[in-house]
Amino acid sequence: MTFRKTLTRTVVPLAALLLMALLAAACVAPVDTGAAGEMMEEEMSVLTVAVGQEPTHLEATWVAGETNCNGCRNIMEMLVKRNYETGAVLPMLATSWERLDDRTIQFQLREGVTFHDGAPFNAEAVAISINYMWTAELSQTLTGTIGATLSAEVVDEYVVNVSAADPDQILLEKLYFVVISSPKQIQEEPETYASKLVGTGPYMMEEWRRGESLIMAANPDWWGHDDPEAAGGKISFDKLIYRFLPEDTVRAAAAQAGEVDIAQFVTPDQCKSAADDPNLRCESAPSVETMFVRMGNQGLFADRRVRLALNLAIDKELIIDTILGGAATITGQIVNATATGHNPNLEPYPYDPDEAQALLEAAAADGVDVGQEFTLASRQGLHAGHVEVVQAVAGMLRDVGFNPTVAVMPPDTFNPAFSHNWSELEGQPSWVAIHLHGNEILDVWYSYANYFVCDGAVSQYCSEEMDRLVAAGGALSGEARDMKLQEAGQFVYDDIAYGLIAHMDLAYLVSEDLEWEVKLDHRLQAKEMSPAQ
Amino acid sequence: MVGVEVTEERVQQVRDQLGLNDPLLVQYANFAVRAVRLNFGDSFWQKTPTLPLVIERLPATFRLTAAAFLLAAPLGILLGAAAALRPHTVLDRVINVLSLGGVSMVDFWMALMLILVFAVQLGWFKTSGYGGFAFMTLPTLTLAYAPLGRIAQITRSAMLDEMTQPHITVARAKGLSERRIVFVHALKNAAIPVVTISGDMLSSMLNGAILIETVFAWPGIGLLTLQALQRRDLPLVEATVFVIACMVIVVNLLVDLSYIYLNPKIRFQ
Repeated sequence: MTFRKTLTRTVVPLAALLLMALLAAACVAPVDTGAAGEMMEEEMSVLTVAVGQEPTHLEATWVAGETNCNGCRNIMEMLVKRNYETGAVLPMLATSWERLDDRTIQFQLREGVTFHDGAPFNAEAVAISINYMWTAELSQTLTGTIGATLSAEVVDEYVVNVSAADPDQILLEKLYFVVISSPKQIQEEPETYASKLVGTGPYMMEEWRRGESLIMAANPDWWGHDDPEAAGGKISFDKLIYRFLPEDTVRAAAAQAGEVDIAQFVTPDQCKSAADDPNLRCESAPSVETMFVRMGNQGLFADRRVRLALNLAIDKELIIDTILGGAATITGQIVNATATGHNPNLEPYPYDPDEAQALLEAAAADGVDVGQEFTLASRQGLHAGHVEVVQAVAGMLRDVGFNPTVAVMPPDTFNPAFSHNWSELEGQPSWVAIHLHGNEILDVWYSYANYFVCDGAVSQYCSEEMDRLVAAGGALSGEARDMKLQEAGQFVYDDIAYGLIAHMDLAYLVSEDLEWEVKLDHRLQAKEMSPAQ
Repeated sequence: MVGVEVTEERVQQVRDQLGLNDPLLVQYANFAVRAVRLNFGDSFWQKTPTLPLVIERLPATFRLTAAAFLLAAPLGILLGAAAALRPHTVLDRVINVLSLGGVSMVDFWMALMLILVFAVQLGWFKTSGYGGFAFMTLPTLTLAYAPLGRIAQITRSAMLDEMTQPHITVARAKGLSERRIVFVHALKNAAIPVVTISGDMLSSMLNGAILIETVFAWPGIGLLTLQALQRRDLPLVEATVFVIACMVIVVNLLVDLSYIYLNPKIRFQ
């Protein structure tokens, strides 16, 4: 028998066998896939969103940060909402409010609202939900997020008092981060609090497929059906699927292949490629996120010249033009112009590597060990191209005489290691962290109180004068507050408390079949989206 | 685990709960006792017992591994045998290039290329996700290519040795068909190194193709291992390592048992 015959008689049957084996392996799979195409029933409208991060858990406190829990605000609602164009605080689950004193606000609650598990929404529900957040042993407290410890007290069936432990002029703004959970869940099934969200929102949590997706179904009893304006939108989809695709290339590919309606946080190059695709558009919009370098005034950075050198060494324009594709704006402060306390007079520090080098040499001549090794750390997955930004910054710092070692790590590793007050780290080697800070409260006091006062939760900076200014600003309201916080901004700017890079734009690939306008808060709320007409 | 703003009392309470205040030897003994009972504790990350979390991910990994192995092993053997039967010909060189590509190619890059070509441009398959044929074809091809190349290389090498043996010459002299000589006499004798490397490849696939499962968002044990490592979720890491070790032991056992069938002399030795 010839070799050709041998191959013909063996290869073809074997190849057929292989194909059958592959098909058989595929066929034993559940048909339900978690992806849009196969899950979609003919008559159902499904919105599929590709997001970069899977939630660590689903405790309601985690919902505050959208990047922590993408899409969760479709399920959970708050007492108030915000208009990010005007900064105004608007009614949501509360219809009106009155400030009783500098710690307490009294809310009149919306009637006729029910939770997804059928429990009625009332003052008791609000009190149970808020008090549980600060009394239960949860993985995540909201104190670090909003800088306050809250409690709630029932006045009557639809009136509740919410109080802060300390005087708080922006308590109302902070309540935008406090979602209200079902009291029935808290009282009867507290063990589900970390794995299931039960709220009053337009969509009900159906399933969290770990490693895969978060699936939600439309809530037929949503109170917003009767009042879309107050609710901030309407239900346009029967089902929502938020797929976890950590690779930005794959997210973009899924949008290009038509598998998802939105691909979150894509690169400028991926945005440009969408220009040739008639089915896609790129939505890029400014955000409240500011990329900054947290070095404080301790250890190596106790010397002001060293801090200034760090700022002068970073070529922000180059980073924005090359790595970020122009999707950012160089900044001179940690918040953008929408925030209370934004100081319009603060210009970005210039790029001047020669001056940076000279400053380091001068500091070295005075005995500062400027060549000491320090860690330049950051979190993974903050935005497309972030690792490259950190590496570029490290290279620029090396060029002028610093000695950084790059460490980019996942949130669960980064947070415990680098979320400390300076006093906890005295005597330890210096480090610098590059952050993406989002001031969604739209009040710079929140940023300063965390980062730039001596007892700030994650402050590496300590100055009596700054403490005084922030305390004074925090106690004020209105224009007086704005002016005092601007003064604080000028102080940290002059004292070079931190390294500044840019305000970030964040981009999405969006199907042309979808109507959605990205807002400053970049929340992926389906009630603000609808199929294109 | 306890958040950033936490009292020293709470930290100590958690350390006590986890047994971190015990001496290392006591901690190890406690771990060993729990492991024997298949109790690896609760996941720091997901707050639930770890072993069910791992077992929950096994079907996805089994499906992907089965499909990839069923593709890689027979095809690798076939290509290796074909190359050995016609050494130094165009066919041999083409197969060599293909197998070398499999061994050398970075699977992450290959995955992205397959997605761009077959999912985005041609629209034949899904870019990512868990599901049927459309979802699993690209991860299967990516996962199968490296083992396929390795198995083809080993098969070719073993077959080249075998085809020069005297018993093959005798078989030809007796007038046996080429197919019978190759598949009954030569390939069976050359099978031991091939089965060994196939076992190794199967074990590594079962270990979880971390990169491939991450790129394709395939919720298998590889993706879970990566997530557990990133979150420093030690109980979950322990459980995944335990389950993986069990699977590797089973595969190695099967490989060893297959030697007896492939070479009866081993039974007598």
